[in-house]
Amino acid sequence: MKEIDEIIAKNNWSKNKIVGILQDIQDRYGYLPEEVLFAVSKKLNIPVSLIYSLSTFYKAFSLKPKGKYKIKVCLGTACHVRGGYMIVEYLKNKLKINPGGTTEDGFFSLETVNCLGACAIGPVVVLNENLYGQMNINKIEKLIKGMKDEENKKQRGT
Amino acid sequence: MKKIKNKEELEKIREKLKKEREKYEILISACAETGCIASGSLNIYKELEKEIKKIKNRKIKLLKTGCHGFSEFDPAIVIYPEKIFYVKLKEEDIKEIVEKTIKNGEIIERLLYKDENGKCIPYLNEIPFYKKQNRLVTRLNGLIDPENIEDYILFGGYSALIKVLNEIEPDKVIEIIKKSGLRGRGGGGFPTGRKWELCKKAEGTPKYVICNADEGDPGAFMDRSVIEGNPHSVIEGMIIGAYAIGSNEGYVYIRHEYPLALERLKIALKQAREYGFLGENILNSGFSFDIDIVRGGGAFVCGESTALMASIEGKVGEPRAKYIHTVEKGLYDKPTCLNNVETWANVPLIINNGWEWYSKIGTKNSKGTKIFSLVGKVKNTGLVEVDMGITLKEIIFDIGGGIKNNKKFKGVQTGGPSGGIIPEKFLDLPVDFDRLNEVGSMMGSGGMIVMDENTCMVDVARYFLNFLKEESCGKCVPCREGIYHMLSILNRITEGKGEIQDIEKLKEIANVMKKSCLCALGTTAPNPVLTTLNYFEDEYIAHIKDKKCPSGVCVSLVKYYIVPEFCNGCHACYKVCPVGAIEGGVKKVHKIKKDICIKCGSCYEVCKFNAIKRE
Amino acid sequence: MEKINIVINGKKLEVEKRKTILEIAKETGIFIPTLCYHPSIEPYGACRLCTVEIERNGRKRFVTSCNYPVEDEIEIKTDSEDVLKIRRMILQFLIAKVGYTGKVREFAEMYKVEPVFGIGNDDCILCGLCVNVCKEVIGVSAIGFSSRGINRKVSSPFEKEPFDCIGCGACSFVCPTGAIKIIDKGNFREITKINAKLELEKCKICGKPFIPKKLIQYMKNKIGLKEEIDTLYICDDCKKNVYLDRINLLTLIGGKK
Repeated sequence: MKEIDEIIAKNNWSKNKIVGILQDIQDRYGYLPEEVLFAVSKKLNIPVSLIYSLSTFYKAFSLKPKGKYKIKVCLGTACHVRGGYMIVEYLKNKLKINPGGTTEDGFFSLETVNCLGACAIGPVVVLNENLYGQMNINKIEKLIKGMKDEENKKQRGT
Repeated sequence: MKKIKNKEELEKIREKLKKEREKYEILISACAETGCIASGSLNIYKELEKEIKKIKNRKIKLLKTGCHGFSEFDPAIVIYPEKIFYVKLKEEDIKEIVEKTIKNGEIIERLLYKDENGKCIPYLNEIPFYKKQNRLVTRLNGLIDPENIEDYILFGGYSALIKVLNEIEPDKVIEIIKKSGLRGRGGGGFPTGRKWELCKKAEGTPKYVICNADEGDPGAFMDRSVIEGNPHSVIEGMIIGAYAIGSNEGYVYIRHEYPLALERLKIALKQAREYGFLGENILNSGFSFDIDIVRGGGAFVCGESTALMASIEGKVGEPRAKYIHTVEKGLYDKPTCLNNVETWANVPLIINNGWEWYSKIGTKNSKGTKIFSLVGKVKNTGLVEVDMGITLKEIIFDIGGGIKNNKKFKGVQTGGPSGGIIPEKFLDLPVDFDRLNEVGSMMGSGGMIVMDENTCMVDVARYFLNFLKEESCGKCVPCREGIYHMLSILNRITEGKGEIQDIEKLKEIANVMKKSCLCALGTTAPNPVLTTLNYFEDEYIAHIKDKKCPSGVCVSLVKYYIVPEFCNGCHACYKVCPVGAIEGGVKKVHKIKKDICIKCGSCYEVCKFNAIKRE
Repeated sequence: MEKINIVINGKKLEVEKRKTILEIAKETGIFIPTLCYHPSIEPYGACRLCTVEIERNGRKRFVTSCNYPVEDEIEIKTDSEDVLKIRRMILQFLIAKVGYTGKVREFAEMYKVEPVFGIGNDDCILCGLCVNVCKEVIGVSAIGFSSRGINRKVSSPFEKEPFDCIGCGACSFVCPTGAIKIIDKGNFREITKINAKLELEKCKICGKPFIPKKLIQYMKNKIGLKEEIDTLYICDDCKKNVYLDRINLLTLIGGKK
């Protein structure tokens, strides 16, 4: 709970900064834990219903933890026109999850983003904050395989 | 760092910086913005840094700069003073560059940009991409380190602010902006000077200035490039605006999906405060002003001014009626002046060079330059800045180099989800605030997405509606339900289940949405559908009557198959298929398994024997 | 109050400057349908059903009458052809969502609306009356909207029992489609859709559970009551008897004098 106080203090204990506070919490924990939201509601005297509205309105927030490898596929117009939608379809099929979901083993979570502003090198995919341009199905397949291999190596302790 | 107190101190610092920079024989500018970094430009920079360190007794400066604009050819570097332009670099190239070009002045041909005919063009100014541009707002992108305020000062930064604080009364500043003819660059095109005037006159304190850096239009990255390349230009503009209006508190609302721009903005604000350009009693003028950053939460609707303000207030991004304008009752119901990133960045230019100079650029009703993100199926994708009034044809063909892979131009999408697609017959239209409206589109914030013969216009309309379905706040009935029902119809059409009455139905829904939605997201949502219906009705008819997609995009209506007579068993298609839908051994005739095929077209693109057909 | 001249449905009127079109329509007996409007809350402008056509200085626009303040020389048409087209389609959209229910049915019959987009069986039209009343009138904001766009819905936080709910039932009272129901069963009050379940206080006289404990607490806080009052804990039926007794007693005393 000390961390929560720190986050709220960093935002000047201001009710108006609630969206910024939630962003800091999302950055810190990777999602918005229910208990933390209740604590923030109490500390700042903001109705829980408002915090819940904010948490579900803004796409930046997630009420559930994400996967270890977060895949974000850009669906901006330029990326779409260059075949970005194919990449999403392929990933839906391969990982058996819909955008917004996480694989059962907690490895991969899939999201679509509406324009990262790197349109000139579309289609664009972000893997855990690393941006990859000019993607296609083969490249993404290799990337995913690479990640799975690395994870298997780690698990086997090699 | 002691805060700068007056004009003389700033001049002294500038002189000192100028002398320092003149010491360098060679300056290398390596682009480090989001797009370039994704292409590996940071590794290029590190290699350069490593190799240059080894050179003794030569004065060489290496700069990490903002975007040169020529994204298609990133990572790129420019070597001054000659402005040698090396493109599409790899780490392995750096040693050679340092050996040959830096040490011996030799130009490496294979790293140069080559034009249509294969001719090498070594120097930046001679490259066709730049010839028709007028890089005013973006002039320093590529010349300065955006994370160093002194570079901005070196090139004249903050002189406009000093001039204003020392010599120009707030009302006079507003006069200058009015006379310049500057209009909002975010898409609305409202006369900026008039907006400032209305805000100044409005009753209530405190007054706020806001920079809308939410840049939600997919395909647009102008604002991102300005903030990543020259954040101080925006800050200086905001301080001048705040002074003119009488505001002491400003906000930059920057979208969540721009982490690098956010970082650079934070650094720039910190440095501006250190040097005394922000904070209490700026430059001893008695005027105080500071800027806070607010991050967006991933909602396109927050680019709308009232939704943006609600977001700053800690609420969900639901717009409200603008029957009383935000210049009168905006943030916290106080007078608020909200302008786009590019609009603010134009302000120091106008103050420094005068309103007369500015008003000579552009057209009668659209003054100055406009930055466009030229993307899609065009050869030279990137960021371009041109005089208002240049034609679409010049942008797409002279600057953009025409269509990629020599395919045929079909249309250009402007104005984001609020805009429309402009077909070939209007390519001679001059681009400004008003002319594109004549054909059902709008200039918008500057996103320009070029489409070729393989872009399905029905799919494009469906794409935009799907985008808006995700982004609608959901408050008002006609937007929330109207988009949903229009999208249902378009989905059916692209799946081959369309009926001829669908076209009339789409127009009826569009008509109601344009009149009754709460905000511009809803009222302009029908535009992509209406313009594609207007100019590409034949494609809709093909989907509805013939159950065919002429461009080969709509997955349900497209099928790929191998013509056995042409297949020679080279196995290339098998190797490239991502889902294993092709069966066949080497030297045997191959076959596509229809139920597994996802219609990605990879096999079609790779077959050298024309054995794969698409219909 | 400054007065201005307007024209509404062809009739010239002199009205107060700060009034909304809807207020003026109500005062002059002109009917404009509304779904998300309620006099006790700020105009929300979500249903768009009250949209009317206005013209001023040669410029024609469509605005919502619930929150548009009239201006000098404005010409208002509340039932033009375009307005009726808008009204009908909004109702068609709502029928596609909730079918012929409550106020939606009432207006659909009034304007003879065909179910062009189908007939839905959802229960909520997202008018926001429940959320806004809970926020502005009751002041507890126990419920709110979650998600956005077509996924927008009225929710209790985390879809669990709303912590701040006092069980007053105002949300149910204002709902135009009857989507929120109050069910008092045994010792508990359940409010459907918002997942509320509140323990009821028993009547001190007849022992019947009749009012959520949280509601008594809310009422005490609202009036700043420090001590206990009997009547807070007595159900309506018993209260009537108590009052009758007291009145009789007073009459007796009065009569004696």
